[in-house]
Amino acid sequence: MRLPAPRETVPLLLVAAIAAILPVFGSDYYLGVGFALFGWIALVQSWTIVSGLAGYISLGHVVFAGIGGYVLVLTWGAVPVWAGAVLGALAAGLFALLVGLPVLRVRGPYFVILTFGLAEFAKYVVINIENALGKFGRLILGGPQVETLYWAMAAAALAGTLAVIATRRVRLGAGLAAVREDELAAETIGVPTVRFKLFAFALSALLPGFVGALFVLRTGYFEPAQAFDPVISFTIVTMAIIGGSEDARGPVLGALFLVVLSELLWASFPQVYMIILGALLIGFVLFAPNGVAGLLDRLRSTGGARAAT
Amino acid sequence: MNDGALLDVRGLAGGYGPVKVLHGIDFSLPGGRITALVGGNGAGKTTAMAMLAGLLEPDSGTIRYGGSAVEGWGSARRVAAGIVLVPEGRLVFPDMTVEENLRLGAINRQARRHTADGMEQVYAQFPRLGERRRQSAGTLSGGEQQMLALGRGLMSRPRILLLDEPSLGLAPMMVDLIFEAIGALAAGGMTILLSEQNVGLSLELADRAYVLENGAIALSGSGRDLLGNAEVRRAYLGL
Repeated sequence: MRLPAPRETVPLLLVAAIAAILPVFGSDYYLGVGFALFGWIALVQSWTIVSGLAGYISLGHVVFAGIGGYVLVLTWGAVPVWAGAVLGALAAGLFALLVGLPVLRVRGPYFVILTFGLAEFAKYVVINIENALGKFGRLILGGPQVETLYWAMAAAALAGTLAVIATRRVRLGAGLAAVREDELAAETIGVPTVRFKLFAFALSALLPGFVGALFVLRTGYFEPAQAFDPVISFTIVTMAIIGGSEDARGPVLGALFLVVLSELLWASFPQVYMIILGALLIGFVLFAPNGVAGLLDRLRSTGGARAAT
Repeated sequence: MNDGALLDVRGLAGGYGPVKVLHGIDFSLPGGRITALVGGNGAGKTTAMAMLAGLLEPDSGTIRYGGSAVEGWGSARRVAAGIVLVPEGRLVFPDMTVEENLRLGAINRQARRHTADGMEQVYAQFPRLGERRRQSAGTLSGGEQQMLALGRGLMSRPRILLLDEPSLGLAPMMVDLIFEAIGALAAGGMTILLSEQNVGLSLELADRAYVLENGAIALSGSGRDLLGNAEVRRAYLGL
């Protein structure tokens, strides 16, 4: 067994520490912020498995959250709450398996656009189903308390972080890294590329399904345009760009950065927030393509070089 | 099946969709020998290599490896079974270090256990790779990249090495070095299929050779015989 590297311990400890500290304040506000933060961490970690490790950039990851949320409301009352959330996760994973084979045949910008289109398609399918059923938003009454949801989401964030760490350690992670670098070369060295990509895609869909179910439980209602809102997909990618998506640190740092920034600015200066966000994105893409995590690595390696001389 | 052939190919035909590149070729690889597949650009060498490696589905034909028919096996299964392609253009992972490239070469389950041994053997064979183990592969020279591609192939613990154009774009000194390494591998018992445009050098090295022209085998024989063949001398060696 290899010793855990900082890139593994740092994100785990960070998530655990935040989860432990926030409830100390004893206010629902902090629990709410923590719930959102952990939701984003779980989403971005999941996205990182297929888009960071394998290099297949998904711009439609909201579809899995939307499916999770929809399954939760459909099964509401029929099965226990947590069973509904788990079913949501499984449904999202199953959906990924079904669409993965054709979708993962295309690469690069085509994959980006296809995933975006797929999520929009799913959104309008659900909107039409709901309209046909005469449902205009569904209310969920008597869901779990904020504190319960908070802990469930913290567990999801931790699970997502562990999933990225574990994937990077095993054969799957090495194979995905080869796929990201050069898929044909990956095939010649014996990576079962189709199977690995499909598995990674399904893996990256499970937690978002669960997270989407928790989102619905938190807001207390399901409305397709909101549950499948493409801005959620964009935010995932933004967080991954800002934090980095090479390993499990990036998603934690990116989500933390953006959630804190939006808490500080959104309420008082919404316009300024979007401007700052745009500027940050440009800055990171141009000067720090591996995000905050990459910047930390660079600082450490130049610091180490200076110490050595 | 020919006596002692580790790999035997009959009637291999196909190409890319409607474009037929190979029109039914037969050849076999005796164990522990170098067999060369020579011919000009577009003759179908790379297509044949891709079909052997499981990267391209042939329209028809059989490929027997040991006792089993391998057509229908995916590339991963063929690598695990010991049929390993070192592709044309080398295709090293440019942003990864030499060591990471080699480590990935051993990604199939059988080879993974032997990663450390394999790495040691590759560094012993190509000391230059050892010197550059922490360097990213994209910064290596063409010859060094070819060494790395060869080393990465060896990490898969092959029984048959399919070398597609290993001399392509290399300086003459590097070509000599690579061919020397190929000779050493065969001397160590490796079965090798060498696809080359460098006809003269390949025929010198090969025990047996096939001349591929327009997707069909035009000539075959021992390397030495073909070197003396008037047609080969005129068409490929410019003599």
